[in-house]
Amino acid sequence: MQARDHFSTAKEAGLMLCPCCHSIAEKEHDICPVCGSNISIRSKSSIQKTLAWLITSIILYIPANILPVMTTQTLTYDSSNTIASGIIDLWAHGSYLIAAVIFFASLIVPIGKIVVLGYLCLCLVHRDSISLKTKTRAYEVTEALGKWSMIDVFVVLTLVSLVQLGHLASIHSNPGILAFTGVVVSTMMAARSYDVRMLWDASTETTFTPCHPKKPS
Amino acid sequence: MKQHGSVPTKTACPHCDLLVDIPALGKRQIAYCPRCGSALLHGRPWKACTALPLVITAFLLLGGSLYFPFLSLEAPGSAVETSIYGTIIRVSSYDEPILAIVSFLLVIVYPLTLLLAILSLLLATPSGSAVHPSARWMLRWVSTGTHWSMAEVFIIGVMVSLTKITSIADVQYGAGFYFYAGFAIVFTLLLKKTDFGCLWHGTSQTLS
Repeated sequence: MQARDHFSTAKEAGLMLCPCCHSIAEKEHDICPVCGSNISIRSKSSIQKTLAWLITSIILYIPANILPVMTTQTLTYDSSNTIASGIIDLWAHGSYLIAAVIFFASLIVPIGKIVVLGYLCLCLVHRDSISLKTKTRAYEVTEALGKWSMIDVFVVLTLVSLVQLGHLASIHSNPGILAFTGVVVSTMMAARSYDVRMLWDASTETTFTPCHPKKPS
Repeated sequence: MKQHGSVPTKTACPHCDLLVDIPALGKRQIAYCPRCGSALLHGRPWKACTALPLVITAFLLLGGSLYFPFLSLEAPGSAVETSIYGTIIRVSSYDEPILAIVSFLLVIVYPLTLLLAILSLLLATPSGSAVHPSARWMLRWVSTGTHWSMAEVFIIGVMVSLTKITSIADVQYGAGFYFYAGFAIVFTLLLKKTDFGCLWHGTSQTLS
């Protein structure tokens, strides 16, 4: 890989990267000459879209965690589980690995995504000492983990369809799972809408120090 | 560069917008951005034109998973057996039609249409007949829309759900489950390892 002597960005050079086919186009275009996607220097109104999806997900997050996601009825008992109580049940039954997976996918990932994306939006306004590289990594992880939160939705789907044994045992889903689906989808949309390149635009600092340690001035 | 005609020599980092020149990559090499460190380009081992057998395999596996029973459940006095679409129809009739529709779209419709799009592109492009605007539309979708396919997430979800009900009843995986698991693996490999970018050059040549 050869980088330039100084770091010139596509924006500075009057060029645009096509998000779809990764070819470079002159900034006069508004449609990529190779693949025909709509292109622009930066994603249009990316902060607005990200914040809109983020607020949606925060609003939905409350019912998703307070309302029960499913109800189990058997001859002897009848119980409604929220996401958190489902995890505690799994742990109590000794399925530690599964409980850990669900805990991570259903509790940590959604709240983590909301916090990271909110923080990244804030970073466009306020500077702090965390390096842009770290922030970019955080964004990449946020984007990659997104869809794995859907595990819990598919768990409820499978259980509801399978366990229909009349009076013996039956499982029904509750509105909480819909709200949770909404959280997952809207955080995924928020991550897709965020344009990380704006973080780098805002900085004039050179974070790239290849092999020369900084000289004391 | 001849080996990897698909690799653009000059590109910009999608995460920090740095202009970079990427040399030809070996099969397992990855090019990282020198400024922000994100992966710019994976030397993808499979070319699009060799993906046809995988696509056909994925089709057969998906078809099998829809046809054969997916899961079966036995409890004293009763037994239930479902297929994948049976699963979804049951959920929509019992309580949550929206949940059923969303899952149906993510688990079956989306991967299936993606496969159909890839298949038609592979069949059309080598012969140079991909002039049709729909081919470009499909290839754009195949290049950017793959993260909504949740086949692998679904399989993990099903496995988790079974450990939850082993206390209530005896549950067994049907042939359909194994078909779908196979499909999830083949499909994920297909999307991750195949370089569909080279198809652009086919489409743009036939257009100009």
